[in-house]
Amino acid sequence: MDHNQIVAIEFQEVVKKFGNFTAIHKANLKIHDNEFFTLLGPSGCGKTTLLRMVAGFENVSEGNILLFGQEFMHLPPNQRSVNTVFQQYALFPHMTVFENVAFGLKMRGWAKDDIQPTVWKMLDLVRLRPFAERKPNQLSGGQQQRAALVRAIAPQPKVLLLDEPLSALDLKLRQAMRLELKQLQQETGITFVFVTHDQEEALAMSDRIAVMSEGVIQQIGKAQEIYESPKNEIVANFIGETNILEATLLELNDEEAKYQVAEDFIISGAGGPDLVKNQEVKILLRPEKIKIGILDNRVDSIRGTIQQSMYLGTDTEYQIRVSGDKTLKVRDQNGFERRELLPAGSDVNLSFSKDSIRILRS
Amino acid sequence: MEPVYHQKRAFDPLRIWLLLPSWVVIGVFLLVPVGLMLLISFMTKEFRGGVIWEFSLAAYDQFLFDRGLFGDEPPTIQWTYIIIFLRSIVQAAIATTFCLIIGFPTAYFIATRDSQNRTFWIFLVTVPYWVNLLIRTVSLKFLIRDNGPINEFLLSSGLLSEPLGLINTNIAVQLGLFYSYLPFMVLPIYASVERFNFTYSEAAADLYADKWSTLRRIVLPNVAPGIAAGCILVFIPSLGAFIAPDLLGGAKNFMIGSLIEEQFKGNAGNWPFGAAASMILLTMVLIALMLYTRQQVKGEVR
Repeated sequence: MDHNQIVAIEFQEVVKKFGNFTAIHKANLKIHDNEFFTLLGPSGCGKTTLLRMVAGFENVSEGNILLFGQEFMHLPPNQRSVNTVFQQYALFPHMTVFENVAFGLKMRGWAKDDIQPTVWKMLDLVRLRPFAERKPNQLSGGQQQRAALVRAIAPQPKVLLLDEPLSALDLKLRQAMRLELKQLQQETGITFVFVTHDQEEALAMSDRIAVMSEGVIQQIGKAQEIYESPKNEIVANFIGETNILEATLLELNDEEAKYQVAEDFIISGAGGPDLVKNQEVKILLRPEKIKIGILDNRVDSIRGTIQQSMYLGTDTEYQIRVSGDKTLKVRDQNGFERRELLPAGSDVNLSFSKDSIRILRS
Repeated sequence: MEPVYHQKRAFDPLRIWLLLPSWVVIGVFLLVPVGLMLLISFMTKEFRGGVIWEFSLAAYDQFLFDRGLFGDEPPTIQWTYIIIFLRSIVQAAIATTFCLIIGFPTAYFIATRDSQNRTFWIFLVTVPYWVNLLIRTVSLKFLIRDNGPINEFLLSSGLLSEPLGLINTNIAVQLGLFYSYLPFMVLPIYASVERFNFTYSEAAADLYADKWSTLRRIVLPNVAPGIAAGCILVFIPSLGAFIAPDLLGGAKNFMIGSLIEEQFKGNAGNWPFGAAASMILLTMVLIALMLYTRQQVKGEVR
């Protein structure tokens, strides 16, 4: 990634308070031009509030937000060149699809001769030309969503804000729309700021993701960084599933460290400069990084007993009891090596690579 | 999916019993009185009030044509009653306009408060209606008459050297109608604004619409049914009102309501004529409503 990127939106120490409740704690964030950026977090984490402050529907209590380096917090929503795709679309019910898409252009004072071709171009972009004369309530959910999308894109905003736009669609449609959204972003070159609570959506589409929880931005990074190297427990727990083991640092040298989880349960992995001997740590281990049943001297191997299994189609999830009264969640893919479901009570070997564990200081 | 409204149902005696009360109410309180009125309008008048049960078109004839004092001159158009009708329509239209101008912002204001405050404001709007209309109108008369408290205050404070002279004017009638029917404007508009999804306003602002454009292009079209309902609810009773014109307007500002009322009062009355005037009023209102409904249906189909 280019280091001299243009910053589209910059949050500087942004605080938002609703009465005594602090919704956003000192948010600092730079969203680059032409980026698909996602704010990811559980409901009530403040991600929509951040979006609404950019759109102009909420004030900033402290701090500042800049749009392409310029002050714009003093402007009312109708003077900000950002557009929003609302969660429930908010298509004007008394207007046709065409009129909806034309609305922003009309309000911007475009000439009628310029509005017409632009609207048709927009409708073609999302295959809605045949539905131009319909009212929003005569469209399917997916069509409404696409209409809302081009309505917001038509006035060529500098930044497009998307507030959980896919949450009202069913799964299949949601997955199809992901692809379409990503394509649309690349075609238009508009910066997308996408808000969602769906981690899969975030991982699939985003150039970068900011994980939020309780009004705090926990981590900012590419999908892989966030998933593979979560900065803390909150991020690790929110994105995907993870096993968290409490352990003590037993031995430490330049190349590796040994962590004791229980008396006869020792994990070796990477050390770190800020770790000292006998330190309490937390070990994060993703369920799909654990392999069942292979003995190999390159990797650690521990013994366990299967307690429960859940067949999920593409993979099977096992709850496996290991030494020290710990239970590990293990995901075993039902892929190339097709195998029988392992019954509860089976003794198995578990192994994982040293690279796949992540150490957090307690 | 469109719900199916015209399902064929098996004959169900319970259904008939359950529907009976509403049929009785509609029959006894609507069809019978209107039928009776229609009947009386075609009868001959009795001089001490009441009717002689003998078919006659005299009531309608009297309304439309002037045949001189003794009824033996060639008929000319009788303008007196037509003017009263026209005056009533104009008065009612003005009252409706004022109610709309004041009622819409009021309703909008109330509907945009938070929910506990809304109840309070609505309560305030309806409080005057716990008092009988007649008493309220009489009170208004006492307030605005030349030696009433308003004029006394204005005179004693030196703001005016002569009383306002409101009483027995069209303005006083307007004031009475406005005061009587304002809530009929506020409540339906309130109901439709309250149902309005303000995300649409946000979306409009997001799409560069200023406040005025948002109101005109987004809010008004969506709350139009409430506005129309409010206008109908104010216009119709204003058209037939007689308490406010009688008490506040005096003889010069006669409206249809008073004209009809006169025909059924004491010995000077003329029942068939009153009934005929009522029927003409009713027909006019019905035609107006039908035109409005047709307009509505067209709007929805489009």
